[in-house]
Amino acid sequence: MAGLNLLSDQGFRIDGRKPNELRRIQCKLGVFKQADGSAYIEQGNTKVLATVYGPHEIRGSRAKLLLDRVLVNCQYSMATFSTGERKRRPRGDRKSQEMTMHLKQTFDAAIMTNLYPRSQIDIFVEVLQSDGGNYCASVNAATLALIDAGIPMKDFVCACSASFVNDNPIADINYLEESSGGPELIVATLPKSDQIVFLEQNSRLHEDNLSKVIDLAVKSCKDVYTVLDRTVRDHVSEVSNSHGWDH
Amino acid sequence: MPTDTRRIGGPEESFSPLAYTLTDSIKTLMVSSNGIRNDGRKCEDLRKMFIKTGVISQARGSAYIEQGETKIICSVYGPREVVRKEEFSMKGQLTCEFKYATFSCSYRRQHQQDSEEKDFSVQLLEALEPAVCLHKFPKAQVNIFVEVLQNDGSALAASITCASMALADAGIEVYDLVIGCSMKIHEDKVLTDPTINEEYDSQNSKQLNHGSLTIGFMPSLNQISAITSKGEIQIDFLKRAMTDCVEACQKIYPAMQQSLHSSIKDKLNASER
Amino acid sequence: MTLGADLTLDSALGQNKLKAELGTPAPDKDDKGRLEFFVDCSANATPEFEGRGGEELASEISNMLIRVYDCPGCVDLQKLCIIPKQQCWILYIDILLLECGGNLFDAASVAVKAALFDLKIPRVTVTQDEGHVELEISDDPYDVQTVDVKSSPCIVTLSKIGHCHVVDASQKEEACCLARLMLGVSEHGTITGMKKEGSGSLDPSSIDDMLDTGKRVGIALNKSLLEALEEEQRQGKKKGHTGFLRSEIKEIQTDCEIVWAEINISGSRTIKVSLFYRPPSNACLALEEFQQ
Repeated sequence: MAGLNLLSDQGFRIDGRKPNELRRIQCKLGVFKQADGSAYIEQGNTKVLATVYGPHEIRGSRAKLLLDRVLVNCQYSMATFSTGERKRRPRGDRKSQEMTMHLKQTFDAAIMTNLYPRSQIDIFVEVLQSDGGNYCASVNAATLALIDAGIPMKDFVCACSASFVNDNPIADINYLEESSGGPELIVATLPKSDQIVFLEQNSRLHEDNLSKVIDLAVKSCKDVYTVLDRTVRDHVSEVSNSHGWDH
Repeated sequence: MPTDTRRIGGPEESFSPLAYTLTDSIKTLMVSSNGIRNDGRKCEDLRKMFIKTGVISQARGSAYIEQGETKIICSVYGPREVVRKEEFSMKGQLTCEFKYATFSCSYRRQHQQDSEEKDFSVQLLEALEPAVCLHKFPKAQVNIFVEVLQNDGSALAASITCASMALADAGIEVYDLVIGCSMKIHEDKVLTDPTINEEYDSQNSKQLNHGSLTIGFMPSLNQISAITSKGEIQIDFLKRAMTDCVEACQKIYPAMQQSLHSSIKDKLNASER
Repeated sequence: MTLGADLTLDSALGQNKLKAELGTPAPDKDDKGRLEFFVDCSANATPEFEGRGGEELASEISNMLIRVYDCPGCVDLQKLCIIPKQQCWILYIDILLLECGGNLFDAASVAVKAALFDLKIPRVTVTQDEGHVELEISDDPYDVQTVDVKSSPCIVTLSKIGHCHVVDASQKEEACCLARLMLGVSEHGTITGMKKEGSGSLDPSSIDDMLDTGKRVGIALNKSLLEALEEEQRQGKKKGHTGFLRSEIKEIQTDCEIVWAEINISGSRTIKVSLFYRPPSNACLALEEFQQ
């Protein structure tokens, strides 16, 4: 870990967080008027915008139509200015295509797809600034956008990443920690039913430590859930207040 | 044909020697004090023009134009059925493709359309669209292909004229012909039909009122179907250049009419025989 | 045909960022830096932009910006050159279109000008050492050079609707307009680029009128934009919510005004300080939110 001390002797990380501490999450539902649902999330310096269109008729080729459930269509793109080095293309490269696929799989599992056969739901995710945990922020933003669009889901989908440094699992890693070569574990859960819908791990991690890291990541997902849940409740009460409805 | 494999390419970072030649000395003196330009024309003079329709036998309609050394050929295909179902429309569709031949400019052009050519394609389309009776061929499209064989300035203007001649030759119903004309604004002078050396170049113009203007004009409707300008120009000059442009278009109009007239005569003669 | 001095183009939401990079100048422009425009139409704006769907619009916007910025007076590119023929700054102007609310071109040009205004390029010192040229880029965040945007143009789009023309057209107005004239207008009212767009044609005399309106509106737009930018620079960046998070607070609670300041002391609880102005007409829901 070339000269970088990811975890100080006092037990603090580079950005001053404790090992199990998340970055600050700020989010907002309904940022766009045109879309059926939209949300914006900031997790530390990672900023993601998600919009949802649908359910609507299948656009483009009819071949994609599913008879028994809705087609979840995702697109993940990163703004050319989102990273330290300027990106040449906002989408279409391997990494974004993989991310698109992962998002699709995740939300296929969470949306009640059988309710809208022969239709399509679009989830568009745009990363405006990237500082690690792009997938997690994208999932969280997309969840909020789906809720904003009023699409029935089994549960919130909350995602969080974790790593393992100096015998300590650390949660919600930022770009520096992500790129330092240590293990990275990404998990997306349905927090109420304690189900994991997505799990990915790369780099080397000893088998004995795996459960510790997963436990921390799953717990962090629950923390994320608390924040998201509060945001949704605030948003709903704000909207109902502005319409003059009683609670 | 994205790359030409038979040519031996230069090193990856290579520049054309043309970039280092001294063309600036020619460009600096554009108009002499008695109002004569480098090629002997007066400010308001057009270059010699030659127009001929029906030059490509396979195409539904075609036209060839020479404006000084600028040579452009254009072909029109269609109206033909739109293949893709999603593009269904009760109005006809028009597509334009503008291309410089690889050998047409002082440096070699690529086979693929570059952004300038794409931009010109869009401008050409927008110049012609108002003139074509699109409602006459629903569900169908007309394709216009413009190829610049030699570029000596005013290529967009000449290709507008050429394409509208080709449309007329193809027998596609139009409200009016579209005539293209360019102007170069050079300090207090307005130069009609600029050559490539006279055209606007942000590099060599230091001050205000250096720019170019291209319009597409429909003479019998007295409507402007396309107008584009480049360079920093004061509004009064722009207006003056626009009126000059319209006047120049009026001069080109009889030549186009005459050419169409004679081409129809030829066709009639041929069919009688 | 009116346009307020406090022009807001908020519905056509654009994100705009600038990145500067060192590179070699174009061979025919060897003593100048370069501007590179890139427009990306995000599918967030409309599902039609998914995949490559937005490319046509994107290239139209970037072509118009290139056209408008293609004159020597717009940006002093010579200042961006470090060593003629060898090193210069390339400014990548990336525009991300997030929502369409009409008048995209104008909004994009305003964003570009604002971004150029905000741009700070680190100073570079050149040292010659036995034929070797060494570049040293200053890492002091205050040792920077800025770009003078005073004379850079804004685009004004005039949409012809019936017999009138309007500026700052909304999406609905754009839908019923057949021909638009887009003008790049500098602060003195000179035209730096012009293009007609749309499938209709225009009368020469109406173009004259549109040019006059465009000039008037363009001068006003440039002036108020520059004033707004300078005002913001003077105030400095306010802490707290910016971007998306800020704008909605204004939108939702139109009749109340709250200023929040959040103090995060690591390890201890978050303290929130707020200034709360409640108009007399609004009675309830004041204190319950305050409880937080």
